[in-house]
Amino acid sequence: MNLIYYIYTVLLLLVNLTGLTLCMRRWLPTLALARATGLLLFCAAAFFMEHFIGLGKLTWLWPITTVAALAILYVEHHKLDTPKFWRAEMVFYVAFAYGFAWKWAFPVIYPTSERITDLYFIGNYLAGQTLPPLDNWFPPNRFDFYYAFQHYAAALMGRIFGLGAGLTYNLAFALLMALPITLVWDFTANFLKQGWKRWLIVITFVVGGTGATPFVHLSYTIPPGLSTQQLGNIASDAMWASQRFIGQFDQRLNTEFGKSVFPSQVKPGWEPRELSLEGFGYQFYVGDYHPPLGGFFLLMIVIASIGRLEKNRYSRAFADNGSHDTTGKKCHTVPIKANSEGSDRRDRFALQALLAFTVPLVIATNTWVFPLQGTLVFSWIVWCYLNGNPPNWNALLTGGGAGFLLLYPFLTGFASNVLPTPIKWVHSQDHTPLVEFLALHWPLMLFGTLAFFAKGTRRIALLFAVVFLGLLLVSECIFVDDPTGDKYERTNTVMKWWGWIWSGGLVALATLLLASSSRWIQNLVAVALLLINWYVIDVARYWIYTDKSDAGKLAAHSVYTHDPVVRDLFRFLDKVPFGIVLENNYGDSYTDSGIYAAFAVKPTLLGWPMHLQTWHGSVSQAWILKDQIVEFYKGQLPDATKWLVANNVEYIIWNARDADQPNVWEHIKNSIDQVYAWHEFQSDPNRHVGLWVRRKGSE
Amino acid sequence: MYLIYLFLTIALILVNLAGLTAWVSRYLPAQASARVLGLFVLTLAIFAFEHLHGLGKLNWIWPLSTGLALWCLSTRQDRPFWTGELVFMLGFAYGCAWRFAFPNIDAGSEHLTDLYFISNFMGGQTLPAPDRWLAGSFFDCYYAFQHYGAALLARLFNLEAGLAMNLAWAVLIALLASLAWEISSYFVSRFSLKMLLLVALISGGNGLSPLMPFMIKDNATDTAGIENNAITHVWASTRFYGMYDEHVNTPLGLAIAGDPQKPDFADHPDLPLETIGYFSTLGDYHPPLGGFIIALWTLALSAFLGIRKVTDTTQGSEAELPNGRQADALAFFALGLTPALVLVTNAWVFPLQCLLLSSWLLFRQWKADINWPALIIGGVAGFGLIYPFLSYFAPNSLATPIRWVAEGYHTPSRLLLAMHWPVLLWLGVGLVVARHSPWAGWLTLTLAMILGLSELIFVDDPMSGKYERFNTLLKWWSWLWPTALIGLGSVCIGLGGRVVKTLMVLSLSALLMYTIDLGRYWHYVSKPQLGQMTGNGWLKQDATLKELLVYLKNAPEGLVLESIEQGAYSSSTALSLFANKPLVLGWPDHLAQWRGNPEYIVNRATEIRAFYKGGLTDPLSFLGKFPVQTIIWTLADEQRMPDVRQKLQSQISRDYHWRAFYQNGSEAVGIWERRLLDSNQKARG
Repeated sequence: MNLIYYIYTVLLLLVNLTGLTLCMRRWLPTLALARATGLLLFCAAAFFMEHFIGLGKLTWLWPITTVAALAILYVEHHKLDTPKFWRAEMVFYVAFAYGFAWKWAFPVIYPTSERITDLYFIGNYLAGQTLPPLDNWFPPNRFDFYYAFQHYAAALMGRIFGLGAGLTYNLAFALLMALPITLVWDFTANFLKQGWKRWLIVITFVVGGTGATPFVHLSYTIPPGLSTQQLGNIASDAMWASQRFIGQFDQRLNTEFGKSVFPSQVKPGWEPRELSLEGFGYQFYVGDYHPPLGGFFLLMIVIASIGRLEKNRYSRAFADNGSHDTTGKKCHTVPIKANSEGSDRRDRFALQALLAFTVPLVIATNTWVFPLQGTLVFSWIVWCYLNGNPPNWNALLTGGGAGFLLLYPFLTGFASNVLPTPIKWVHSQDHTPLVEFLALHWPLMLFGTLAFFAKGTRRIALLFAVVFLGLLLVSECIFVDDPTGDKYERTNTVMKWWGWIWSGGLVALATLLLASSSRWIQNLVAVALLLINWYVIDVARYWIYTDKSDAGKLAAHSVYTHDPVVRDLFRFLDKVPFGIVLENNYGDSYTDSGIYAAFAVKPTLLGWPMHLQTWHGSVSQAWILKDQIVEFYKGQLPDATKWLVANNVEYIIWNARDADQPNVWEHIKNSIDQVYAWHEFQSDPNRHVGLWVRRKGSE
Repeated sequence: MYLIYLFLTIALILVNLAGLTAWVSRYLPAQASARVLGLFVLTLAIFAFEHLHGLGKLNWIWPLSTGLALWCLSTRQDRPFWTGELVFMLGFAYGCAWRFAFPNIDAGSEHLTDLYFISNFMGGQTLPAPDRWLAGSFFDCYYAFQHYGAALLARLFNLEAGLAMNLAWAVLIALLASLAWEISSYFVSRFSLKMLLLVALISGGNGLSPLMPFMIKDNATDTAGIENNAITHVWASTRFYGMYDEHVNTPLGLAIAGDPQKPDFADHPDLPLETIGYFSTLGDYHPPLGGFIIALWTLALSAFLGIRKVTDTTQGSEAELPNGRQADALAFFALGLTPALVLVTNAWVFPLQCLLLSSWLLFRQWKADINWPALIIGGVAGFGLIYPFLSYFAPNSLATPIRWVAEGYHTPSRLLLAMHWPVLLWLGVGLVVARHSPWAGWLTLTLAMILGLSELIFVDDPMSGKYERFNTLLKWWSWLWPTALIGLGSVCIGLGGRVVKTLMVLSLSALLMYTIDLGRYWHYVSKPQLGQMTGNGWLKQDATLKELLVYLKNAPEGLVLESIEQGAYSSSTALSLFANKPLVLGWPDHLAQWRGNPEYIVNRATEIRAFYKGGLTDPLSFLGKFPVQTIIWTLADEQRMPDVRQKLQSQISRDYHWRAFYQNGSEAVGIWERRLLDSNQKARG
């Protein structure tokens, strides 16, 4: 039954998206850009509007949007017959299917990396309150300190289709990961005719590792005679080895080659700096619906737009050469399709407006890369002037202005509540070791160098080379000084920046180099890409060896709800009226505290205090509250009822773990029974698992 | 990130104002005056309407108004319009720079008072709004139209009250600058002379400023001393007599101030003359600034209405404008509005404004026609729109009879000369120029009369002794100064002969000595909260108070109790005001003064002080009277009375829950929250 529901949900989503894409195609030159722009505009407009008035439940909307989508499909049915349309749609469907497959196989949301955090972000928006919404981890504060536009977008989808929190998370992940892939395909299509080249780039982007991938394989061999469990662990390690190479994996190499090239960095009083590069493909493994995803999406919109803007010029240059390059060989370029002048002008306006539109949107999506996105767009503008072809400032100001205006209500709260993160110079002991730096970034450095020799595409390749390598250099000079320190001093900065630089640089430069007419460059780049794609083996091993017993349980809580008592509690809590849920606190962060509330889309009295501290700087109140919660669950909090009432607690979870404490349940029950009614969820009379619900009319 | 937000906010405000100006100036082709007219009419109309029905949140308007503004602007391609806007924007940038550097809204001068005024209007309730400093009462005892304007800005753009106050301050400066530019442009064509007038107005001092280096000699060399001197310099000119006169250490200083060794020296009356430059350092969003705008607006409108044609016969530069009759009617309408506007903006200068306007009407009647219907419609509309306000303000306002200045309270002639020599000079020069320009004659005579009156009569407010004439002169002289500087300055420079021009330029240049003082102030005075335009950076630097502020901001509506150790000028109430919450009692001295010293305010202050000392026998009964929703217990309270918190906890824990925000051993900071809330509020937080 679930399968049928999922199929229908995905179909509904895809039909709506196709309708939106066709609608937007009137103003944008390609289907991928039309789809991306349509979604971005829709979500940004709703985000803007809901800062004035929350629209609450939106399930009434999908029948209307679906009918509208079908109507558009009918009106534009002549476009459906073209292979171009279906090819573009198929790319999207395949990309979506790939992400969906990951989520199908590994759907569970549990306290690993930031999955629970992301679920809580989405949950903040699912109720449809006027924005900024209540902070479900720290009521009565507002959720106005985090750049969670993509989480809002996910929640919007969940609200329209009436999805649960976990399903919303998993579907949104698959969708948001599919969009950059379509844009990469779109970008490559501007310059490359041969399918294999385009596939090579897309596969490297989606399944490829990093520059460190070949070194990982040369520096580490799997010891023989391991159990399946151990093989699973090693397969899992291999998934992050290429990305978290510097300061982590390079400290556990086991071949002579590895030990000689990357000797241990440990020194007395100094730990190796953890400097990871988390590119696009790595996100499938991580499975977090975290801001870098949205950042990649906006980055690829810019790259695809620039590609499209420059396509005609590039094609024209080759056409002038009679489709032959200087070596006399036949060029593999996309044939020029003469656009009418009017539509060309319209396209150029829309694309430039779109470029500028993404810059403010990055602030709400992934603030970390806002300077990078701004630099990319600004560099393109400078490049236009250098080419004697000034950009259309009307378009740039319209797009940028519209973006900032739509974001303005969000910035009202966000600007004053986000922690200041000053930019500082990198200290000498925090720089990346040279050998490791080269091992990780050699592909980009190689591509950047080759850009000088790329016949036919040199100018635009140099633009991207200067931007991405320049930013790489900048990332070695400055960093954003967040509350972390020591070996993590630069971790957050490079994690965000290098992933963005790598993904953008890889796609843009590899495409333009493969499109150059120099055969040796093409060959060199193809070899480099193949080396990066060594990671495909790691991905395959991960799929083979990792447990998939939760496959298909897209509600994402099966790790908890395989226990029928917990399942019943989840279902119960899901249906009860909105109110604050109290759960025991099991630690500072990355614990099961708050998962009942998160899946039931309810506020919890206190989320993970360490995370709250990271976001707010100082949260003494949260730490004091945490101690009180722990005392309550030990049955040691004086005046427990008064405390619960004062904190507006409506539901108190008492799970199997809490039930392990002898005699505490009885003590708590006796002290709060007057105001909170106990609901038992299992049959053993000597053990109690369930929840207390505040009695109606009680103070 | 905050800078991006600030930039966008400013851009939005400026675009909306420019759109409004573009629209109004179609009908009144005097751009700065048109801008002020648009702003005043719009604000006054909403002010009047909200006396019938509060409009609540208004932030939904800005997307629509911005769209309209952009449309209006798209129709204006003419260069003069954009030049006029540039002047306004530069004025705004100047004002904003001051507030950006010194944004704090703290215990100093009237910062928190102004924030409290604005805060009263933030809720968008039907007016008069509940008084946020006096639970159970209404804010009906103060002429706070200018603050209503700032609150409207906050409500339109969803700004915090502190940010709105600082930005509105910059708007006031920009309005003054643009009006001054417009007035000077009617008479003066040289850019440098117009700039001289503008700079002298915005950052110049008074007559004492150029003398000050010869009256008080500095000798500090350390950083603290230099910073202190920079502050002293800025204050000394404007608050010299009765406050800074004891600092004199030169023969000239002693000659003007008298000998500090003399026994009656400390009794010197406080006789201030505050300039716009001084207000820049002070940062108060106080009524005098609004009064200056109305005065300069009157001058600009009167100049627009053809006085220039009458006076400037030799140049004959004014041509009949198309739609001239309509524009004239609108200008008369605007002039008709000014008495009502000044009454709600800065009631102290109501008599001066009436004198200025009536004398001009007399003069106009003599020289040209008056559009009586438009003028009367303006007057009637103005008073009609403020009538709902007057209906409660007038009965609640203090009796302020006008009395003769008694013997012994007159300004010493040496001080009068030292402080007012520029005005006296301009008046003299104005009489000379009056031969060519009746407008100059009118203004000279009117301002001379006002200066003379200020020495003969005063408004007898509750203050006495050293401060007998303080408030009157503070308001009147400060009003007279920009009016004379721009009005007489422009017409004398524009129409005077070589000698007159030279005298004017020299006198105005002398005032720029104060600009150097302002520069020193800017350079030497530390700016620890640079750029924190909400004004609460000083408060948020304490992590616990910051946390408390965020919590209180998001907490449900309800009365807050804060301790009040001092009668006024303390940081008490800042937390609640920045959190946009009403208090049981604000600064008791101010409240008592505005309301005629009623005993219940004193009693309430006494009870609160007793509560925070643990001296109330039945605190729950006291708290239940209002009822108090939140009681704030700061580190200062904790350290002042270390054992009281435990005692209070035992006394009020039945109805109040203690929520700690800081705990260090037995020391704690936090709030007590009332338990009894309706269940809906509870669930939503």
